[in-house]
Amino acid sequence: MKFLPRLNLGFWKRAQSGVSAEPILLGQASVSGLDELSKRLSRWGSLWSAENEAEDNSTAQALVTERLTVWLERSFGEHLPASLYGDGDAISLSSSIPILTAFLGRRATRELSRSVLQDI
Amino acid sequence: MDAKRARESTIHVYQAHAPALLGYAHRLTRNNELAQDAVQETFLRFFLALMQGEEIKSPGAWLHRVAHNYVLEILKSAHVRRDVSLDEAGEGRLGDERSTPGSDSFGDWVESARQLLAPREWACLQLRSEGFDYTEIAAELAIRPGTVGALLHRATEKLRSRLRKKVRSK
Repeated sequence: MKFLPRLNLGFWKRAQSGVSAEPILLGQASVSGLDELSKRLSRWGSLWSAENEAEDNSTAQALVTERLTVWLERSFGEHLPASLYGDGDAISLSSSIPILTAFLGRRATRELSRSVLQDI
Repeated sequence: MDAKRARESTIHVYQAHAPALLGYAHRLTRNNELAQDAVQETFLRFFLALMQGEEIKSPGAWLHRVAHNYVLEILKSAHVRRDVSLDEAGEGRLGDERSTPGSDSFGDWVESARQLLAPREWACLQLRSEGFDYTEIAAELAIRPGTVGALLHRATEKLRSRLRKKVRSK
């Protein structure tokens, strides 16, 4: 004897939508989030390779280099940054990512690059 | 991928997936601010993944998995648990919606279902309810499609059993 109708995803989805504890304006939230995201991505994009020498980016670029150096030393020893990069070469995310990915894997490298770009 | 293309792709994917992801994050956190943070963080990671040269075949499933993991990290954090106490906050708000403690709102039912299911069963059900197929869920949870079927079957059996008990008790 069948007591209940089969569970179906439509029911589940309706049930989940009923959980919403406070009203949320999805469209509005998305639009405001997009502006912020877009600005952040532009900034990060310009910092990814140390080629952009814009004045307002120099402090942020120095911070990225400093953090990356710490991570490279922590991961591979203190001599690696000096071995990989000559005196004139800047340490950048674009140049460090391949070696970091090879040794740490994609996910860990993604989290590392996220922490390098934290608050920037 | 170069920065310009990665940025354009991220924005394109954001426009397509942000509302659904925000809804998903909101269902997990029951908190607007945290849900929006989770969405922002997820898309920032998406951008970084593209910059790393990662090929993301199913952006929707990828985003949901990353958002899910991010929310779990946040929930585990003692700081947030102390300051926001998500479960308590969620229950408190649900409590406001309830007329009596024993009433049968969907919210009650889903909350008890969440507690009933194992984390992987819950994750599968969440992704399935977002419209992802078995292959996409399997790829994102790093399990075989057959396992997805088994987890979903087990989850629905548990839920069905719970409903039967509920009906019989009335």
